[in-house]
Amino acid sequence: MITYLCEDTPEGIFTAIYDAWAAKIPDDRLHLMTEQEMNFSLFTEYRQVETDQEKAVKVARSIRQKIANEAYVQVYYASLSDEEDKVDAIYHFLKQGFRYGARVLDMHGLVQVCRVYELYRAVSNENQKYRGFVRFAEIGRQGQKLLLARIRPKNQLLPLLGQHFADRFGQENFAIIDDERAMGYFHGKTAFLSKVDMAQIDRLWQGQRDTAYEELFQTFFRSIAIKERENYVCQRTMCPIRYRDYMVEFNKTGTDHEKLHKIQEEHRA
Amino acid sequence: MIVLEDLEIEKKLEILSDAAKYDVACTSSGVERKGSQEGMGNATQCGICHSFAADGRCISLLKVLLTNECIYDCKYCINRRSNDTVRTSFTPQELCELTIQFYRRNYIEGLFLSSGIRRSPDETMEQIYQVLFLLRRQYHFNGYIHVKGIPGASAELVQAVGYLADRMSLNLELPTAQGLKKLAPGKTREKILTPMRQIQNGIREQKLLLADHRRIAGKQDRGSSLYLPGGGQLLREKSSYGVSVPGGKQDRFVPAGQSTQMIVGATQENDYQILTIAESLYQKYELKRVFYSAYVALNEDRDLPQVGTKPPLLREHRLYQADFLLRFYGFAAKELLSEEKPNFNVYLDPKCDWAIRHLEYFPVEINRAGYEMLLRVPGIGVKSAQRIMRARRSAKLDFDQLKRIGVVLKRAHYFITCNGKMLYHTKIEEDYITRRILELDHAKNWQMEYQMTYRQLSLFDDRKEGMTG
Repeated sequence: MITYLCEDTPEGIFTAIYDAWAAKIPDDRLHLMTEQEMNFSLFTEYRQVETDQEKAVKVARSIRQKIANEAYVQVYYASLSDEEDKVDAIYHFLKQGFRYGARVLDMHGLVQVCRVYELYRAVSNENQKYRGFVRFAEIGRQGQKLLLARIRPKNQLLPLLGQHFADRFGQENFAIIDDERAMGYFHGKTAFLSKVDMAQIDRLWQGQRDTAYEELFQTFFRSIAIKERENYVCQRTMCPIRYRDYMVEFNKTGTDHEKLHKIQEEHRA
Repeated sequence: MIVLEDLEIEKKLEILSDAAKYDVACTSSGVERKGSQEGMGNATQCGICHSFAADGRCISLLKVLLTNECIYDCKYCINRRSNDTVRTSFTPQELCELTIQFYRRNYIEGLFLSSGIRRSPDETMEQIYQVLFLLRRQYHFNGYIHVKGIPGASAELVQAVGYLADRMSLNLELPTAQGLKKLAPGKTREKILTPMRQIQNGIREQKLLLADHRRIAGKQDRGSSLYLPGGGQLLREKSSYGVSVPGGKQDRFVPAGQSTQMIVGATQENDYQILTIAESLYQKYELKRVFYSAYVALNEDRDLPQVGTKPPLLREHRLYQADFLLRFYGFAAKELLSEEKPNFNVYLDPKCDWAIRHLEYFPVEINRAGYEMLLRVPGIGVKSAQRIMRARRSAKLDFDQLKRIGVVLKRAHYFITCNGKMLYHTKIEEDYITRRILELDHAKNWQMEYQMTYRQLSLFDDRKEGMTG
């Protein structure tokens, strides 16, 4: 068995695919994965992949040219997934893709195609949720204000959300922090993605902060609901609790959770 | 009427959002627009839900009234003149500031602005115009704006507002002219339909202009839709040809289209009447959406259901289901309902109901059936039907693959064969299938009726999955 270990970024994954492809190893002896959470095995040869921008770009280009742009979109999204088998899945999907071309996207009979599609869907759905549920707080003193948001997504969403908000808030200084990965997307005169010191973020978060509009939004959130149609179960289906950590409208009122809980109790009784 | 102009902003927001909440449309879909250099905001084709209120409805836009003062006395309306409530108004600046600050924090996708009629329809429409002008031109807000057209407002004002808004809507309010006359003495069908027609014509004209630009530029028309995302860009390129849409590059007339709303359950109309009206609105007025609002009985009046009557949520839900069948599944209203059977089946969704009454068309062979027929199978949606069409070009499909494509087999399997075989040995027999499907749906319908599980039905045009690529 030969295992390629790569950095958990689209570039790292594409580089691993380039290297593994070039090495022509038979499928049944090949395994690709990201570096995290390793259980080393004695019977495996490990190959550390050095992320190489040039190789990654070549892979990206071939996918677009030899398969289809839609395939590139799916693969890119899949590479942001938190599922362990994603690198293998992408590799095998691409193998089929280079064989069949754009047609591969419709070949739902192939497990490789289905798996990448599933990963893509999961990332894309979570991204769509977060586009709406991200909440920025205005932090800092006059003259050096910053819009800061924190998230805890399952998948690596920062590149996607960063792109979305960079277009939306072009003139603003903002940052989105992924608590779990201790990563941040920063947008100002330039934009970049980097590791962050969470202790520093916490300090910033607890510092000076403008809450007037948070309170106004809480007011709006309460008064826009129609009492005669109250439905906390539906609310939870559409906005699952795991997204609510930083959503100001849920934070301070808190009552929605309690009411939901009460309904569930009653239902059980 | 108690009018309080100088309330603090929080109180105003509370009153004017409370007064706007019975308007159902809160979608922010239908237009794709990139961010601009000087301003803030963009818009995505599929729209974005930013939160979900305690009633489970999506919050996408800051939905408020400009004022809840009103000269009309529409019986069903919480803001009617004869109701003894506190009246107030936003100033244009207050409203712009709120919109921008909410938007920057990503609470909302934009503004949904409606209004009571303070003195006259024209005055109200003009104030709405002022807010929009300020928001677009001074605050450079480039996000989504949905505006209510005010019945009876002059054509010039409607036109001017249309170039600043993304979507406009005039509420039909009640399904029939008689209903309107009885409950909304200040409004007439004509006052509502005239601006609706005007907006339709405005949108049409613009589509033609856009098509012209494209032809001049020698560009291929991609598909049949003239509503191309990126149409705005095209205009920028083409300005050198000396043909430009009125108002300049960014001003497209109501680019996200027009919608309307009907109140369900305030008057005696049956589902067949309502659905037929919706159908003709789609056909004759080219609306993007018709929304249905289960009447919440708040006002005391002998012409209305008693205060406290439960809102007909299941009925509203069935109407939305049928509405999707009209728009995306090629059904006609008269296929779903008739004079003899004017109301929806409480237990079965309209598509299942139709299929069970037309077993002569089933079972359908997945590997051969046409697209239109696939769409009629319960458990197969537009996306799965399209994927089946594509997938079967390269291989014969079996049940396993159908499942992966997204077909809801527990519903569909009564109606389909794969390579001549059904999934189980089931009978194509009305009572049998009805019974089995009712078992599937029992829990869901129970919830709908007793726990008020209202789901914002969200298919394609509202929340297509985002693709940034």
